[in-house]
Amino acid sequence: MRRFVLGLPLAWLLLFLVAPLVIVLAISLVPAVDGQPPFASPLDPRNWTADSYRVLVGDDLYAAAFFNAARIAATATLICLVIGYPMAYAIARAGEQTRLLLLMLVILPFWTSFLVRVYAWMVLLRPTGLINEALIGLGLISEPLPLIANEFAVHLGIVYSYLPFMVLPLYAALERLDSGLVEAAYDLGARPFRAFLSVTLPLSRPGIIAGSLLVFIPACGEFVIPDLLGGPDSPMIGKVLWTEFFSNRDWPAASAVAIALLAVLVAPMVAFQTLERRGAP
Amino acid sequence: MSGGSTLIRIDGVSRFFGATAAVADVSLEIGAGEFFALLGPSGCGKTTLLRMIAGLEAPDAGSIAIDGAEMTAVPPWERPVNTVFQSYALFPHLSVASNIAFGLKQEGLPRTEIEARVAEMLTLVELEGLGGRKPHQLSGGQRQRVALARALAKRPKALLLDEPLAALDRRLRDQVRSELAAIQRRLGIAFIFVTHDQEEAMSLADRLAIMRDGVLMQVGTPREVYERPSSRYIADFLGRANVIAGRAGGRDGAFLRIDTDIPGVTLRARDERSIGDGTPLWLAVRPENLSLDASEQANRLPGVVRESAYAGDVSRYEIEIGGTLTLRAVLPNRHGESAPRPARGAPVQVSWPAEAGVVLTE
Repeated sequence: MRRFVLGLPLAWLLLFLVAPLVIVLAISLVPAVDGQPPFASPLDPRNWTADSYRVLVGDDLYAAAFFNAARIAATATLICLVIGYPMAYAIARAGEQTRLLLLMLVILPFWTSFLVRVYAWMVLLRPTGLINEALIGLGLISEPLPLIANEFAVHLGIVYSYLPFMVLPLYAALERLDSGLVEAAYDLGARPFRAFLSVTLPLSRPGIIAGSLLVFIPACGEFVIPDLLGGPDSPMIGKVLWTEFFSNRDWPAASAVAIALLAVLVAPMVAFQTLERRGAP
Repeated sequence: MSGGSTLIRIDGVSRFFGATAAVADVSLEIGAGEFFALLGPSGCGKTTLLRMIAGLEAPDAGSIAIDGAEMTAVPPWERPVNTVFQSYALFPHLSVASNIAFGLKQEGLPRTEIEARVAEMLTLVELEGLGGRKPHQLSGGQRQRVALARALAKRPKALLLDEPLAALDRRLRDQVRSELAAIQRRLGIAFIFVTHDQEEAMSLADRLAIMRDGVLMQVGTPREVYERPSSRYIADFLGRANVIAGRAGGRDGAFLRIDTDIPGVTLRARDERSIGDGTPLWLAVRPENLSLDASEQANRLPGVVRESAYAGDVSRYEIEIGGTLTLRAVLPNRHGESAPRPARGAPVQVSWPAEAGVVLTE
């Protein structure tokens, strides 16, 4: 029984995590060919090459796309934190009934498709969209504002889509926090802002880290939002990956990008683990 | 007041939660250097009163002054008092030393001064060498000492303690109790502590205030409130006195005669007040003041022993008088005592001197 209980998740991980990863890694190590499938057989050791990785390192496009993705994801994560912290704090401090209602409102967007919600932003933001039409109609502007096909729209889309992933772990951390500790800080002479900085903020750190990772990691690999809301000026790595696969049919290059992205994203996870171990109370 | 000049003056303070008054029109003065207890059952408002002194709760009416300064509009971080919380409320992410230094850092003291004060506090609570530990690495008793050191580090004019011994086990409690008393004597500042344990309050406090349903029932030294309770509630709450209902029945000089419902039984108690004949009242007599023989003349009742229990230092008896009244008696046991003790079912004469009874009108 015990073996079965342990074996089931292990089999699951092997089948759906390790196996695809090994396949992707294998594809990244062979050259692309014309045909079906569009890559040389990874089972033949004579086909093995690191060419895809050489291209990855050699072509500035990839490095720039990685950097763009990391920069945009980091900025969006920071904005999520700044908006999400007061939200989570207010929810954690609200009365029982209000708290449930506010939590429902945070989760509510998940009830519709993510894709549909991003399309909805297109309708709102485009030059003939609701916002521009309304502003022109009111006579506030004469030309449509450039609200879409740029980094602003990508940031907006990411912050909008991932904010709940920031709010929920922050809420969990703040809700657990003993309000008696804040009172103790007041009692010892700390003004409210000092008490927040030296007690509430450090004790909500696990929530800050968890929320930031939950936003940063998927935002880094995000494809739909830059594709629908972004412009051509600053491609994100997720979109480059998609282009390699479907437009260029260069599966080995796409696989190499995927492996590199995974390696880059494992780094913050490891940092998180280390921080948690050091900060464990 | 035993502690010299007044440190804390509470004047007509009330605090409502919804429609119920957690604290109702309480006025109280606490002296500098006094060890003062707020005693009462849970929900009597004692903790709310303590929190209002700390500034963590605002009174809906009345005022609180500390050392002559009106405190009603002063936030907790500016009050010259510090609190030891019931759950200790130690900062889990800070070391013991940083916890103790927390309040000193808010004052902006120089680092060397803070370090010296932290070391001094660690010595005071006998936790030298543990400054680097985190709270979760300490035992319950050690955490309590850290909470004490943290609150005392700022040298407050008064230390407020919310049920300081409640979270400790029995043996540790006795030890911490005597340590608290020693620290208070040494520092000479006022300690105000909240407790539901009357023994704790009686043994530690110079004076105590007994609260019930938000109302201050009586204030005095442990001896005053024990020997001269002002109401049936206090007489019963502290040491479970025997309370006998009756009516005023005239005077015998300094003594008041009390007619009881038991046929033919009239009791006598020393009471100087003029109480009109027929006024309903109660006589409170402590179990340890009863004799199980006819040695006292003033009050003598025939009864039957219903229960007797040998408890080592004392024996406890329940004596039934005339079918309606049961009196509790406690007699000390001395080794080699020759007189046999009455057994269950034996007829006895219960008696006590007129001075031992307290006449209560409420």
